[in-house]
Amino acid sequence: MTDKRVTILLAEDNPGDVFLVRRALEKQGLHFDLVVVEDGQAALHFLDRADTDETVARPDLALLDLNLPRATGSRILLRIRQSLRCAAIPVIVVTSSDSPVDHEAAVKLGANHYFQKPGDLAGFMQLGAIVSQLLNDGKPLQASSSVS
Amino acid sequence: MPLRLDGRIDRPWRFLAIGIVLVVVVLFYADFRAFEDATAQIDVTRQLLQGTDAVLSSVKDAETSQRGYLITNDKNYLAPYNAAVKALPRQLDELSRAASAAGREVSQVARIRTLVDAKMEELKLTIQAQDQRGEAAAQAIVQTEEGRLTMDELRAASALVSSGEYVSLFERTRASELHANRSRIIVLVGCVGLVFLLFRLGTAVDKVVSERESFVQTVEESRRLLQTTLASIGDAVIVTDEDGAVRFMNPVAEKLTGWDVQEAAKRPLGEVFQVAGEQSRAPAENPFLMVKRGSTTRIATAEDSVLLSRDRGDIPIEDSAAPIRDPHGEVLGVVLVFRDVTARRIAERELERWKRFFAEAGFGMFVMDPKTLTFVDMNTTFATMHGYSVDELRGTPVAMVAAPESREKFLSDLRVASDQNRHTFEHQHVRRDGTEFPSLIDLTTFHHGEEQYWAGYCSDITERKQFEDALKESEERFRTLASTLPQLIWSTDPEGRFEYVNPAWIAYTGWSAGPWPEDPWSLVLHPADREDFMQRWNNSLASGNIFESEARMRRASDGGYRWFLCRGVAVRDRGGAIVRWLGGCTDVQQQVESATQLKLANEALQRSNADLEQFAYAASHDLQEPLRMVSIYSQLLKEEFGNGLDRRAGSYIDFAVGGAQRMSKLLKALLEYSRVGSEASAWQQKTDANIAVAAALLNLETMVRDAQAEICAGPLPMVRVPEIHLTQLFQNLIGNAIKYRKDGEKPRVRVEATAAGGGQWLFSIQDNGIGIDPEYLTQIFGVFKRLHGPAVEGTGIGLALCQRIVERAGGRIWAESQPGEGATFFFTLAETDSGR
Repeated sequence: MTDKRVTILLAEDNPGDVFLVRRALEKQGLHFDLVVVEDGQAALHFLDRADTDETVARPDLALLDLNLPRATGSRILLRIRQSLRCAAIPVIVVTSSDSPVDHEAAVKLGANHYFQKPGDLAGFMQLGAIVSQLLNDGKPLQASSSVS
Repeated sequence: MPLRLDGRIDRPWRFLAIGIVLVVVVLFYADFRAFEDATAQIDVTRQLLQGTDAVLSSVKDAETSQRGYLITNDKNYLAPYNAAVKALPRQLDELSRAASAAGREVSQVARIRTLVDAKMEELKLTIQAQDQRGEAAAQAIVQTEEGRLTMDELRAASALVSSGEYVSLFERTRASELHANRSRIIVLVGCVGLVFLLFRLGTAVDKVVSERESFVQTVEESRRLLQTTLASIGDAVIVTDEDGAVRFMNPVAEKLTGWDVQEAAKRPLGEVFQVAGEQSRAPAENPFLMVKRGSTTRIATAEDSVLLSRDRGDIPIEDSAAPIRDPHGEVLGVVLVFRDVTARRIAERELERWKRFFAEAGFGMFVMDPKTLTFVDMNTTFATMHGYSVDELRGTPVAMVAAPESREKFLSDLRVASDQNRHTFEHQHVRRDGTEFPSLIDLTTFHHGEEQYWAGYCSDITERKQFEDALKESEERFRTLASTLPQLIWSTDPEGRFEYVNPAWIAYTGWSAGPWPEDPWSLVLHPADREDFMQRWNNSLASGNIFESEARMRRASDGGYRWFLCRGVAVRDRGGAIVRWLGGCTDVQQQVESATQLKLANEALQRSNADLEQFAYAASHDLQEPLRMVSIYSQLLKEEFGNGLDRRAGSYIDFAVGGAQRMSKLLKALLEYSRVGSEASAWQQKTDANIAVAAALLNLETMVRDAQAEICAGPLPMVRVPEIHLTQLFQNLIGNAIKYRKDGEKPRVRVEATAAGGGQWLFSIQDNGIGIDPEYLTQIFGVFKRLHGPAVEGTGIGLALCQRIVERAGGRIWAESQPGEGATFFFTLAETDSGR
């Protein structure tokens, strides 16, 4: 059972998608703090701070869009896997690309899941269940809800 | 007189010794016979004396016996008488025989016999008278004294015989003594003579012994001399005993055979001395046995015999063997002499090779005497070249082979050869049958001993002459042709030095006739092209390969450069040697310009294509994002505010979502279409079309099941199309076949591939659907072309994608159909080497 709050890092420049991610997590009933960074540099900066400053909350999971301004999602994924504190956290690549090349690259860099943004609402909402499953390390999902 | 003992005593001494012995023996024999004779006579004498005594004694006994009887009248007294009467005849006979044997006293003995008979008669009468008439009568007879007288006479006769014989005995004894004395003297003299001879013999023996000693010494010296000689001579020597076993080997023989003399001793010759034919390898007969058989005293083995030495392999040898015989001609052994003839055999073969070379050379060779101008010798080629045999030409004048009209020139050429020691000249020769041929002669003088000769070779150059004439003619033709050609024609010698250029060349480059410049190419080539051009040209000169280079050449008229394609080929003679290079330069300025333009256009096109693909990809991808937003948020709107909206608003939202989703599908299709052109390496992969069809059917599973379609796919080949695209191809075509089916009829689709020739497979996908109006058969492959309204689902990009895939693979796609008759889609793909 996961009652504690989790911190989730979301790198996404499209506000529409940020909204949909938040909605999916909420619908899943997770207690979470969502740290949203809108470009690659900001994401890298956050990770630098998290590594050097113990007071910064360590994210429990990261959701990365690949196609970000200033630094790509792949670059951020690489940085996470080299991080002192965050190297082991689950990472989900969330992208509209259906390219096998992108998929393979993400797996190679250590992404735990590759989520291709679907064109329908119900499909998108599946993201919540995936996040929950990864947070529970594969254990059954907990159905409780909270709004930050 | 010297007495030598070289085996025999000298003849005179021999005769003397025999003479002495003979004389002694003869004399001795004579004396012995005389002695024997004397002894026999003495025996006769003894017989005569004894016989006479015996007779007398018997008579006396008889008389005494008679008297006793007469006195006593006792018959017993008559016994001696009777014995005497009996013995007397025998005794008398013996006496007579002795006398006749001796040849003496025969008359006396006869008288004795008469007297004895008379006496015995008287005694008989008295006895008979006594017996018959008594004593008185007997006394009367005795009284007559006749008996006594007879007796006295008998005694006297006996005495005569005895005395005669004693005289004879004395004489004989004396004669014997004389003989004995003479024998002694003879024996003495003979002994003295023999002693003398013995003495001389002793001296001679001494001399012989000393001579023998010195002889032994001489023999020893000879032996040493022989051994030293055998050790030092270059020939190998082996001596065998009478059984053919090795007795002696000199060092050379040891070295050649590889046998040590101690080791070889007593071994059979055939083991130590093994000879075989160098080529045939047949073992030669043991020389000992050959000699022993006695047919020859000397043998020489075959020309190519080799000694199979123990440690040095085959050694060519020459050998001879001779028997050693005792005085009776018995073979005591064999002397085998052989020598290493390696050097000689090599020399002989060398000589043989040169002889054959001379005889069989493909060109004529001859030797002539410059003094007499006659042929000394020549090879067969030379003779047959002129229709003669070698024997016919030997000794004939050399002028005989010269064509009559050219004899003058021939003789003058000979004079040149004489002056220069060497001279090569062409000449017209005549054969025996009068036909002529051109020849090339090379004469060289050489000395053999004191004599000077000319050696020459002669080759028939008819063909070369013909070739030269033909060449000259072809050259003429070539020049005529070259002078009319617009191309720049040139020729060089094998080293690349210019020999000829045609008028077009002169006109273009502005060269005037005259001495060729040192480096003609550099004068006309553009400096930027010169290095590459010359490198290619020099490579070709070195390799003989075709020369080809493109370069700019300077036009004399305006100083401008134009592109030329220059090609050159090596012209070879029949032997393959390069005679010259022949080349031409063609003005390709126009082509180069068009090619450049084409290349530029091509590059631009490729760039444009790439841009287009990039654009299609980016557009379809980037356009997806806003569409996704439109679609999702429209759904969200309906979900969150659906209760507050009326039915119309709800259906508007549905239209908006439907439109967005449809556009998304179109964009995805466009994305696939744009991806076909990329991934060049993927197009090298081979794909099994059977697998692609299976994958396509898997993707179409729901559709096939819903339509209850019957799909029949024959065996399909391997093709060079990426699997993903081949699957798309079949998926689209089979999908269409099912999609455009007739109502109420079960769709049937047949997929086949046949070899279409030209390395192509022809695929066909045939259906029993609604068919296509021929008017639209070509339009259907356009992007977003659709023949049917929204009633039939589709993006309008499927067939365009199919066409793009097939054309990307180098094939062609088309359709054949009549409305209502079903449709067949065909496409071709290249065969791969692995086939079906």
